Amino acid sequence: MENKFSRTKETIANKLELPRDIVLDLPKITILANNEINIENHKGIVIFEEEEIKINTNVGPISIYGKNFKILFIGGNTITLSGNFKSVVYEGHE
Amino acid sequence: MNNLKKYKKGTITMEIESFMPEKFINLLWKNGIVVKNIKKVNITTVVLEVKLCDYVEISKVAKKTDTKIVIVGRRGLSFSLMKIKSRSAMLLGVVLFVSIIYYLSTFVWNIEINTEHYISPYELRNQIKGFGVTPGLRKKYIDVYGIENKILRSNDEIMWVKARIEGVKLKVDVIERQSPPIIISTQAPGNLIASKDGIVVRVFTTEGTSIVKNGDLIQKGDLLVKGEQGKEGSVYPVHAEGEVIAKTFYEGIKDVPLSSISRIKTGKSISNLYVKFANKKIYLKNSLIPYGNYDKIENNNKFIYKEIYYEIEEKNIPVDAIKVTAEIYSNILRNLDKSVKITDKIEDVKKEKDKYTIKVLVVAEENIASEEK
Repeated sequence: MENKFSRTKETIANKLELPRDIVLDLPKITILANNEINIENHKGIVIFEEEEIKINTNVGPISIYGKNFKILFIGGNTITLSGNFKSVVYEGHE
Repeated sequence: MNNLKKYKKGTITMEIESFMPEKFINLLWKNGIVVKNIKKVNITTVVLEVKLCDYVEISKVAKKTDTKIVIVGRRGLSFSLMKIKSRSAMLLGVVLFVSIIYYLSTFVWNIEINTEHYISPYELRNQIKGFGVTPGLRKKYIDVYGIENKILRSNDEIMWVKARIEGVKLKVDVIERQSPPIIISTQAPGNLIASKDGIVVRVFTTEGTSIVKNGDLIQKGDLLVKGEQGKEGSVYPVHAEGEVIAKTFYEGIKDVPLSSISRIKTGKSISNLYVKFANKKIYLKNSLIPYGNYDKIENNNKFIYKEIYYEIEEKNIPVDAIKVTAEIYSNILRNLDKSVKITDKIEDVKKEKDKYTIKVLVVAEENIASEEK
C-alpha cells in the first residue's frame, strides 16, 4: 500500500517537474573530494565507529568507510561529516 | 537552571560517556538540538560541542539514557560576560582609569616654545604666563588665536607666531623679524678721523696714507689717515682703512665730605591712633614720644588713622677714601669698551678743610680711528 503511494508520488513529481528530493524525502548527498560529505534528509546515525559511519536514510542505511571521522554538524535534517573516506556504500533495503 | 536559556552566545565542549553514544546523539538530534564537532575518543566516549542554552535539554536526555556528562571546555561571549559580572571591581577600575585619562587630557600640561636666535624661550614663557596661560589650565579656556595676537602685539621683533594645542602640549612657534644688514660701501673714498683725544702710539694702515706719527697729540675730529694713495702726481682716491692706536685718558673727580651721617632704626616704635572728624583729630590712643630722633609714618585705614614713630639713631661715619677711589675707578671702567686696554691708573686724594677731593685718572690704549661721514 505504502509502496503504491510512494510510486504515485513519484509519477506526480515527474509529471509536474518538481524536485524529487523534496517531494519524496530522498537523501541528497554531496561529497567534496575525499574529506567532506554532506547528507540532507537523513534519519539519524546508526553506527559511529573509528572506521565506519552508518547513517540511516529513506533509501536504506548509507555506510561510509575511512578514518579520522568527525561529525562537523548535526541538526535539523542535515549532517556533515569530515575525515579521510575510502568508500561510500548504499546498503539498501534488500 | 532555567536562566541558562538566555546565554545564546556560549558554547560548551563536553565529553559524554554512554553505552551507546550513537543513541544519545540521535536523541539530541530528534530533540532539535544542534550538535557540532562530534569526535569519537573510544567505544563509549564521545566529545561534542553544544550551545549553552541547550544544556537543560541535554541533561534531561542524559538522565533518560543514563549518560555521564563531563564539561571539558567553555568559550564564547556569555562566559566572558559572566566572568566580568563577578569582577565588578575590575570593571569599575577600567572605567575609572579611562575616565581619569580622558579628564586629565582636557588640560594643558606643558608649554613648548620654539624660537629662533634672539628671543629666549624663557622670556616668552613669562609673557605667556602673564596672559594667564599656565600648565594645568583647561584646554577650553585657552584661545590660541588670542595668544598669537597678544604675543605679536607685545613683541616687535616677532614676525610670525603659531600657537597650537597638540595633545596635552601647547606648542608655540616663533619666527623672528630679521632686519636687513646695513651694507657699507667700501668702494667710496673716505678719510679716517679721530673719535677721541689722545697721543698716537702706533699706526697701521691697510689703505690710504697716514698723516700722523708716533707721539702726535690728537684732538677729536683730526684727520688721521687720508683716503689717497700713490706717488706724487699720480694720486688716486681710496677708501682709507686702518687702525690708529692712541693713548687716551679718562678722568673722574669727586668731592666727598670727611664724614657722613647715617640714620639707623633702633627697632623701638610707638603708635598713636586717631579718627579724623571735620578736620579735627580725635585721638583714640595718644602717648608722648620719648625719642629724640624719630621717623613718623602715617597709615590710613579708612576711618582709623595710625601714626607710627620709629626711634632713630644718628651716627657719624668717617669716609674711607680708598673705597671712594675704587668706586670712581670702577665707574670709569664700566663706561669703557671691551677693546680698550688699560695701561695705567693714577690716583690723587687731596684733603681739604671739610672734604676730600678725589681724582682718578685712567690711561688706556685704544683705536681712535673712525670713518669720516
